Amino acid sequence: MKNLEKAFKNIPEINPSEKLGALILQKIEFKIQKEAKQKLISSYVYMFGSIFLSGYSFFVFGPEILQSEFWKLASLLFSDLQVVLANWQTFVYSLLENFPIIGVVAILFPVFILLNSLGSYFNWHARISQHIQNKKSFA
Amino acid sequence: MNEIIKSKKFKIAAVIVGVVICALVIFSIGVSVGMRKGRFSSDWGRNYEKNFMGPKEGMFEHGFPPSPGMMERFEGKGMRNAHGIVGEIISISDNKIVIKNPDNQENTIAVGEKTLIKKFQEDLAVSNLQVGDRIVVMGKPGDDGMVEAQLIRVLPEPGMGNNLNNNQKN
Repeated sequence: MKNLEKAFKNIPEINPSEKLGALILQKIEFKIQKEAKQKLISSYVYMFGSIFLSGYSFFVFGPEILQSEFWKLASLLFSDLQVVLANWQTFVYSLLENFPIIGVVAILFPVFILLNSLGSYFNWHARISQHIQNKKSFA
Repeated sequence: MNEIIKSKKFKIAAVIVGVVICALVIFSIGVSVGMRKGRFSSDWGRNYEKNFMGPKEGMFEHGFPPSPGMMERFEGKGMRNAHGIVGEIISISDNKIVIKNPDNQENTIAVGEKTLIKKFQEDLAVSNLQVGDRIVVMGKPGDDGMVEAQLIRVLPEPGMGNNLNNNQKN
């Protein structure tokens, strides 16, 4: 048994290269940075695309909604509030009947994409800045 | 219990249940509004002759209700509004007003004793209304295919706001 131990003592330990740890960390960092850059670029594209789409849909569908039957009925709220309150069920039904679904969806959809892309942008921005801070404190 | 409530799966389940409830509420509102519009459109079709003294030429040639475009059909524009109508007066009789809405649909409005007719701050009578006036009508659907008006508001003529502003400036 003692001979066996002596025999193993003479064998040099197969240690990984000292640079391996640093290389792995470097690779991980590179991958994170690449992914973060991709996500940031895609969120920029979505943001600018949705801002453009929002503006376009506001200009196209906004006036349409303002001239719609829905808006004229809704304006009764300002001119004839008492009558509207007395017949609120009729008023609600009249608004629902005339609701400009297409226009509202066309305006809200780009806003939804804009909010999502803003969320994604701030999320990845925070991750990158945290990563940079961690790197500084580690150094 | 607290851990279950804080878990991600519980939150996802709660969101799903909330979305399903919202979808069901919206669906039931849509069904209710659609039913009322459908019933009124059907009554209007059955009483067309009575209300307009004989069908117009070509009214039923393309089927009834007339087939609108896909997007219009999606918004339910083929159906008649039973509670809120905006349009231009094309004829006035004793207590009936016929208006044409922006989709070129004719609707008959029944004016009762309780109907309020307003223009700006003034209260009007049916006799004060004129052919060509643009009005907003809020009312209930009648079984005879007419809308029993509760409120009729006469809209200002297009460009009237500008004239008023110019007069004020002068």
